Amino acid sequence: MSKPHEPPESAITEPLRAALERRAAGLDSHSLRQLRVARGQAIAAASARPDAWRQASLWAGAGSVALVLLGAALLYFRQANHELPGLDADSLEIIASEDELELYENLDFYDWLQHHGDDPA
Amino acid sequence: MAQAIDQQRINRFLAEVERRAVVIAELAVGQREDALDLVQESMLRFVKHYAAKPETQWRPLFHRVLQNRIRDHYRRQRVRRRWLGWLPGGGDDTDGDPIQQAADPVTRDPETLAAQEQDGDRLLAALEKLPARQQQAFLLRQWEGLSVRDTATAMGCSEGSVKTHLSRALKHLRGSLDT
Repeated sequence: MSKPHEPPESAITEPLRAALERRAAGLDSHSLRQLRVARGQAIAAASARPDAWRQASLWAGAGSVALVLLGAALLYFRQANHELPGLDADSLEIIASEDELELYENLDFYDWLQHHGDDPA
Repeated sequence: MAQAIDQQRINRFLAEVERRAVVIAELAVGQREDALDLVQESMLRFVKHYAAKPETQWRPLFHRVLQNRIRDHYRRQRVRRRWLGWLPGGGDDTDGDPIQQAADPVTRDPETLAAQEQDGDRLLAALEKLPARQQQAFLLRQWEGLSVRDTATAMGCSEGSVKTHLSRALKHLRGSLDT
């Protein structure tokens, strides 16, 4: 409750509300455009979420399948005593590098060289 | 899995609160562009985290997000000022109070400038100078029309604190009319 010499609460709140409304209503076109874009982006981001999640799940699924296949292949080679030709860490690095395609194509030769290169015969 | 959101409803809600949100943020941080950035971030976060909540909760939740963004803005400013203070020529306050520099977007028409408008403008200037919590309490409670409970949710404080901040805000504003 206000004291006798004090203006009532409405003497503060009413003109202030009106001034705030004027300011809100007077936002310039640049600000309004930015708000419209922001609103659109927020809604688009939220709508895109389930799809993005589904896509990420698909990639994760594909990755898991690839890992299982790789594991099965390694197991097969191990059990069948098959030697993976020159597949040590250095070779894997070379295979993984896209810049070394020529080297990769000649991997058989380098493998042969590694085993016979020092052979004087 | 995330619930599908009602885009039209969300759009309508955001369109309804966005102008006031800009004014609230601008009063808090003093710059229009910063205020627009804060509102944009708030929209993104609000839709991401709370769009699936009942519509009746949207308004206090949106304002809670906005107030958190404003608080973060203050924090970043404080840290920036502290670090700039170490640099030669940095951190001097010759630029003055950003609140005082904020452009007044209202186009004034001298013919329609009534006495109440003058009071309103004087009070608005006083509102800009209020401590942040008092300003928030006034804007959320008296302008946005949130209940004490919702204002407390938005401000992240108790209902008692809301009442205290509001009472102090009114006291300061009343004082500005006397001068």
